[in-house]
This record gives sequence, structure tokens and C-alpha cells, in this order.
Amino acid sequence: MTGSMNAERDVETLIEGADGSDTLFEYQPGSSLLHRLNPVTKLVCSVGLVLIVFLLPDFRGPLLLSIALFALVAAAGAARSVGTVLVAVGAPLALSLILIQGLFYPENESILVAIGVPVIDQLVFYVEGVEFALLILFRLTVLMIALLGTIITTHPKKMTIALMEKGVSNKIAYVFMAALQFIPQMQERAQSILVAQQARGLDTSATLRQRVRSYIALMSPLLIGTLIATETRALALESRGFTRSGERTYLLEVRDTGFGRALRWLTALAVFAVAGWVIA
Amino acid sequence: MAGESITITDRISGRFTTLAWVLIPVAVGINVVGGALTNVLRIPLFLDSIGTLLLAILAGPLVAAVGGVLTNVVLSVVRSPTMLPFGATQAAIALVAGYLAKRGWFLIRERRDYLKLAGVAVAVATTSVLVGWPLLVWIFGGITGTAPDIIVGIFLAAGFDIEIAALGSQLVIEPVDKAACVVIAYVIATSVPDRYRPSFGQRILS
Amino acid sequence: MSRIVFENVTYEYRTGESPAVEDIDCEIDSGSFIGIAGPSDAGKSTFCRLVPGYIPHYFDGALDGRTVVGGADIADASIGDLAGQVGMLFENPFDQLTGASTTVLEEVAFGLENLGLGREEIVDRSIESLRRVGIEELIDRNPQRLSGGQSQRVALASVLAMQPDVLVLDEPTSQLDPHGAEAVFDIVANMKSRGYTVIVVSQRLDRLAPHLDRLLVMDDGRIAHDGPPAEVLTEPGIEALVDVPEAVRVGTRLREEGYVDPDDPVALSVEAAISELRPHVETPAADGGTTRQTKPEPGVDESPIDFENVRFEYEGGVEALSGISLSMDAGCVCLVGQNGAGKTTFVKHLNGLLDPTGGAVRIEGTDTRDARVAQLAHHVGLAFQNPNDQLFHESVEAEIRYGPTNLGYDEDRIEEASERAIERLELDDVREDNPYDLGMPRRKLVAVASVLAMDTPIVVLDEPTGGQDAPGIELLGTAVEELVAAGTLVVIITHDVEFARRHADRVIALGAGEVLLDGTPREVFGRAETLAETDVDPPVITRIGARLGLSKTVLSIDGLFDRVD
Repeated sequence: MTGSMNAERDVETLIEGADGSDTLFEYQPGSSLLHRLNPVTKLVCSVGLVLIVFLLPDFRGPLLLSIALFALVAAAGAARSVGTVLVAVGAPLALSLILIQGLFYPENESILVAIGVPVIDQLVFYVEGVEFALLILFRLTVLMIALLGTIITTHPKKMTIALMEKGVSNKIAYVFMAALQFIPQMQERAQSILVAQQARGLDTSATLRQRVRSYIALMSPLLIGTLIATETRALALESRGFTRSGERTYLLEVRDTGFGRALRWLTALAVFAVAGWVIA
Repeated sequence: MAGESITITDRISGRFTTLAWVLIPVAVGINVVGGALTNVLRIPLFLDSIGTLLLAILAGPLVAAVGGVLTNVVLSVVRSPTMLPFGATQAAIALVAGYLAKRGWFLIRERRDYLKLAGVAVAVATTSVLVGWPLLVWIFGGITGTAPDIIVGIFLAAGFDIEIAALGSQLVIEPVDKAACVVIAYVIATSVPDRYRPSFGQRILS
Repeated sequence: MSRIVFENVTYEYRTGESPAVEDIDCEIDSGSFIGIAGPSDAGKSTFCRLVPGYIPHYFDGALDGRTVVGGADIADASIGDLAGQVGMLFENPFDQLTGASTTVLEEVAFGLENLGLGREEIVDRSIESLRRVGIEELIDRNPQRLSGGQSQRVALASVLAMQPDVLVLDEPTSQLDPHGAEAVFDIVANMKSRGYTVIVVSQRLDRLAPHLDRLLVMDDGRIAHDGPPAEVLTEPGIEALVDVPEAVRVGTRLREEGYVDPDDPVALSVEAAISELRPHVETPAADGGTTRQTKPEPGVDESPIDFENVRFEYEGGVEALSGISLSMDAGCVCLVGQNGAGKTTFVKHLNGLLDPTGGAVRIEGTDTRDARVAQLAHHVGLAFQNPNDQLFHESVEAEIRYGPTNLGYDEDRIEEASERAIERLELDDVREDNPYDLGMPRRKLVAVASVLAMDTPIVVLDEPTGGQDAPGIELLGTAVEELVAAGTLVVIITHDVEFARRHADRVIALGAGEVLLDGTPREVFGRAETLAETDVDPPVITRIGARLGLSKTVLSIDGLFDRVD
């Protein structure tokens, strides 16, 4: 028994500890509460929270949830990775939202602040518009933190195994993993095709019409090359029991605890409670 | 420890061949790489649905819809989760294009058959607007933090509602982009020799 | 035990125009080691696809006759069921991986998970399979980030994990560099002693022949020759179908000239050929260094290619070229060296795809930093290794006209250059065909033709003979000689020292970003120790000469036999 337990832990360490620097997924190993939760629990809670903030009509709830979630993610050591995306995506969004909605939101009435500007006299920001902007912004912030937190604390392999154990097809699990892994490969091939076509006189700085033609000259070989590869890959998969029906086992065991189950029920309850409260 | 042998997704997708499953990640890759290539060639369009449309032509509407949804699932992992909702647009485009493909709208034998292709372009662009528009309004309040926000701003400043403003920005961008995607996907699909076309695609294009 | 029987098998693909294999009648005993050779499109792959049931279960087409594996007709079992009996290794090392694994362990375990085995057994079997192919240490690596040779071994481990007793290998080494090919060959040669029935398709008979029990040579969908390799490889007319190993050529010549009893079976290995030769070769005391490294003469005025102390460092600080100065004037120049020696980086400097980070590259007097790639394409035509990176037109002819059209030539010149390229590479019969309907070797010729048609004074070919069949290599050799005769400077990057031996006027060996050797083929290939630094073996015939202690480096069988008496 102990022998197999050790082997199991070794496999887990091996897969989670493997060098992922060349890959696209953002997984960061760790042993925090978030890391230990069953991936499906994390997904259910994330979706539940997103539903809740989209039900809430005022920005303060989503704001509080954003802060709480960020603290949780920070405790799992993921503050930096989540923060990077939040700033990169959130900053232009926040700027755009506050500027446009603050100035032009159709229900704008009460003036929040008026800033004197040359040429157009003054810019007037309204309370209604800014609050609407903040509502949208923090809803999206909750969406981003919840999902990013899940992604960063869950190895994709574990995510797919957990989903398969809850009844998702092994084929869906396959396409998810394969798509994640294919993108860098296809980017590299696109690069070598670009180089090969440039060597045949394709000019990337020609007229728009020619550049659209070049686009096709690059995408066609990419597609045909990958289609040729898919024939081999489909055969290799079939030979390895991909379409076989019957029991499957997984290299890793993903645990589901009573605590996780309770958390999922609690999330569902909370969603219904908020929905009831908003409608009432 | 052991998975169920027949799952819900198995029942829905039981008809997919192994080749179809292998094509799905390829379509995701083409969507992403195709979108990125517009920067290299400085083409002022998104062109991020070419993989989905190719899959619709080569493997049918359902396979393509899975590919479309998966594209945005993957994008939400590798870029930002805010891209997740627009998976619905990709799926809708896939279903429409795949259905029209089945009805023979990609079968071009003579000059006037190009009208069919134009029809597909119109249908796909319309679908894209009709699905993307409510998502843009309900989830984003019209603003996504990208260039089309300017159009929304102009509409709002002129006194229109958010709904109209969002529709305006969708109408300026989506039809041209999606029509271009349809034409490019068709041209690329026809460049694939018969023996490498999945059997669905063989019936659609020849 | 899995005896394999083909009973009158004929198969035609749905998209084919004629049967891919015809009247195959053949029995393969359990535990035997079978080689299959022959030109491309001869039906070798189709033969392979029958054994694991890919035909008729995956491919569309018309099958006639029966294929029986281990007593059961393959038509009655699914591909998944047959996988426990027959394992297949494909040509491309990367395409046959699932693409969904983050570590090598997951990749090898993929099939076992689908079989529903216990977790412990999965891990044990996976590790055992990795051990068998000698790559246990790669277990936690990302399979997408391996070299071709490593990747091919991971694929083989994944196949072995399913515990088949028949292994079918379809050109397992044709896309690998010599180093990777060597490693895979060593493992495959070992498989027979482990009790597997092995069927290997390969163009590289040099390494394979000594291990084979039986060699089948296919031509035009039929089995044209069948027997022990020593017999098959000496049958008349065989040279048109396969690349006969040098050892066999030497053995045949020894018999023809009466040094060895013609009834003795011909030697298959280099070792055996050397023992046969030894009594007939006089080894004089060394008569002074005939293999001296010559400095390339400094560029007269303006060489077409001029490298002046070129350095190149990739982002991240990896130095790929560390100070290369040379010029190339005319003839056929072959660049050899191991992967990572800087060959590809060197090539990309020839048309400005990369600009040097130090020093300067001048192409016909133009500094590459001052010109765009599209402009340099007027001077340098460059054909890359993988034709699938370039081809996208509906016909061979349109493909070939793409380059010259891009260069803005007038219609007459496009026509003339394209026609000449089509003629040189004998593509006239397929000019209307889609390039992707041709086999890989022929498609590779289309890619080369599409670059020749650009009618540039400099032509650069990256691994033109890799995966090529015997007739294709012959054709490329002739084309190169014609180009050189017409005054074109031809630069060839290659692992194929046999090609370099026959066609190069000058050989440059790169190692660790520097020029190790530069001279005539005789000068360079005579320096085996220096070549070893960059993992290049001299040609077989040169090695035989060196092993016999001949003072002068030999480059051909004729040269060798000048010393025999």
C-alpha cells in the first residue's frame, strides 16, 4: 500500500513539477487551500460567483467580492500572475468605461466632477455613469480573478481528469489539452512558413491587396500541413484506444472531499438566494 | 478513479469520428494563429474565426461549434477570461456556416454560384452581430477596452442608448471582418487537395 | 504468435487512380525481421497500413483479398483491438504523438489509461517501455519540445507499452538527422532478439541490411523482389529501385573482378566488406600528407557570397555563429555539421532572413542589412527542408510560377524559367496535379523546382535529399551538376555525405558556430577526427579506405579498386 501511495505522489510531483516554461498554461505549483480544492469545485464556485455579481445591481457588492477573491488568490501565491492580467486587460477597460460611461451614459443626471479643459470648455463626469462603469468593471474583475485563480492553481491535466470523473467525455478532455499544446506549435510552423515564402519573394510590406494574398499564402500551407498531420495523429490515437468504450483509469488521482461537495452546494444556494433577493 | 463508459458528452458527440476530434484543436490553432498573423501583415481586421469556418466546411456544424467554443475557452486561459463569453458567437457562426455548407452553399461550379458564397458571408456576418450584440450590452455595457469603444462613445455622445451604440459598433466592424473570414476560409479550404479533406468536406466542396 | 499472411491483396484508395498495391501474396513468419524498400509510391505505406487494420478500417477504398494476422482476418477486428497485437511507428516523429500530454510519462501512459489498467501497472509499464528505448531520463520532459530522434523514441515507447508482438515501422528514420537515425536503428535492430516480428520500410539500407532476415522490394504496387538481402541486393536491375549499400557494391565488384568466389554470398556490413578487401590491398607506408587543409583563396574582387567575420547571437544570448569569414564563388558547395552547429542560422543569413549581429554579409555586393528579404530573393533562391512549408497552389505548374511571378519577371522569362525547372526535375507528367497528391519525395522536388524557377544566380538547398528515394537523389544530383555547369553557385546544407562526396566541389564543415574544415571533398572527408567533433562520419567508401590504411583518401569505388590487386 505505502509503495503505491509513494509511486502515486511521485507521479503527481513529476507531472506538476515538469518544466512548463515553454507552454501556454499558467499553472503555478503550490499547496495552498486553493491548490488542494478539487478542480471541479473551483470551477463551480467561480461560475457561481460570476452569476452572483451579474445579478447584483450595484457596484459595491462586486467590489467587495473582488477584494476578497484577490486576497484568497494572493494567499495561494498567485497575486502576481493574476495581477498582471488584471492590469493588462483591466486598465484599458477601466479607462474606456469611466471615460465613455462617465461622460455619456444615457441616464446621467447628477454631476460628480467637472474638469476644465481647453478647447471644449469642460468635461463633466456624472455619478450614474461612473457607478455603471464601476459595476461593469468589478463584475468583469470578479470573472477574471475567479477564473484566473482557478487556472493558475490547477494543473490542466488535473482539471481534465477531475472533469472526466464528473462525466465529461475523454474526448473533450483531449481536445482541450491538445488545443493548449498546439498553439505554440502552430505559431512556430507559421513562422517557418513565413520564412519559406519570403525566400520565394513574398513581400510583407506590399500593398494591402497583396498582403491579403500573402495571408492566404501563409495560411494554406499551415492548414494543409496540419491536415496531413491529423491523419497520422488520428491513426495513432485509435491505436491507443482513444475511441474504446469501457472503463478508463487515470494516471493521477484527483480527490474530492466532503468540504468540496459542501462548498459546491453552498455556491448553488447562494446563487438562488441572490437571484431571489434581486427579483423580490 | 474510473470514468463512466458512456457520458453525456459522449451521447451528444457520439457521431464524431476520431479525425473530427483531432481537427478541433487544429481549428483552435488556426483561429489563434490567423488572428495573430493580421499583425504581422498589418491587415486591419481580426480574422479570428477562420479556423471555425474551415471546420464548418470540412467537418460540419457540430464539430465546428465545439471548436468555436473551445477557441474562446483556450483564449480565456492564455489571454484573458473576458474572452470567454464570445465563444457563443463562434459557436453560432459555426452552426450557421456548417448548416449552409450541408445545403451546398459552398459548392461553386459557375460564376453566378459566387452569389451563394456572398449569401454565406451575409448570413455569418448577421449571426455574428445578432449574437455578439446582446453579449456586448449585457456583459460589457458596450465597452470592451479596445478600439471599437470609440464608436460606442460617439453614438452615446450623440444621445443614443447603449443598445443602439453597441449595435452601431458591431455593424461597423463585424460584417466586413466576418465576410472576409468566409471568403478566406473558402479559398483556403479549396486549396486542400481532395485526399486530405475529411469526408464531410469532400462532399461540401466537390 | 502472430504470423502474417497476405492473400491476393489488392487495394485502391477512393481518391486514387490505380491500385496502390496489387496481388500481394506473401507470408511473414512470426519472429522474423523484414525490410521493405523501393521507390516512393510503390505501395510500401499501403502494405504497412494493412497490418494494423488501418486499411480497411480507417482509409476509404476498395479492398480485395485477405490480410490475416495471428489467424484472424484484420477486417473482423477494430483498430483498437488490433493495437494489442500490432504496433505501428510512423514516419513523422511529431505527428504521431497525442499532442495532449504535458510530460513524456503522460504520453506513454495515454493508451494504458484508455485500457483501464490499474494506476500502478500504468506507471510500471510506461517506465519499462521508456527503458527499452533508452530514454528513461526524458520522463518529465514536454513531448512537444524534444528533438526528432527523441520524439521518435517516445512514440516507439508508447507503442511498446501496448505490448504488441508485431512492429510495423514506416520509414522511421527518414526525417531524422544521422544521430537520431542511428539511435532508432540500434533499438529497432534489437527488437528481433526480444521476440518481436519486425517490418521496417526504409530507404537507408546501409544500416538495415545486415540485420534483415528478408528484404522485399516493391515497385508499382507489387512485390518485385523477395529474398535474403544478400541475394535481393545483387539481383540485376535492383539499382533502379533501391540505393544499394556501398558494402554490397564493394562485394559485388570483388566478385565480378574475381577476387572473391562469386558463389559466396555478398557481404552486407562494412566490417565484412573490409575483411574481404584486406587480403587484396597493399598498404604502403604513408607517403606524406595528401590531405592538407587549404585556406579558401581570398575573394577575387566581388564574390557572390561574402561573409566577413559574421557573428550571430539569438535573443537570450545563444551564439549560433561565432565569427565566420568566407566567400563562395562558384560550383557546388556543401555545408555539413551536426544539428546546432549553425547551418540553418548560416543559411538564413544568405537572404537576409537574419541579419548578422556582428560583421557583414554581402550577397553580390549588397550588404544584407540594406535590403529586404523580398529584394534579396532576386539574388538568392532558397528551398527549405520541409516542402509543406511552401506549397499551396492547386497545381505543380502554378506552384513553380509563384516565385518568378513574385519577382516581377515578364511573362516570357517566367515561362522559360518555369519550363526549365519542370524539365530539370522531370515534373512534366504531373504539372497539372496538386503538389499534395504527390508522395513526399516528389513533392520535395516540386519545392526545389519552385525555387530553381526563380532563376537566381545563387541557389541554396536545405537537406534536399532527406527522405528522398534513389531515383530522386539521382535527379537532384544531375540538376545540381547542370546548374553548376550553367554558372550558378549552388549551396547545399546536408547530412548526406554520400551526396556531398559525389557532387560537391567544396565542403565546409561547421561546428559550434565556426568553420572547422573547408576544402575539397577529398581534403575534408580525409579528416575523420575533426569531422567527428561535429558528429559527421565520412562517406562509407572513404571510411573503408581509411580502415584499410590507404594513404590517399578515397572518394569512390573506382578510387578504392585502384588500390586493389
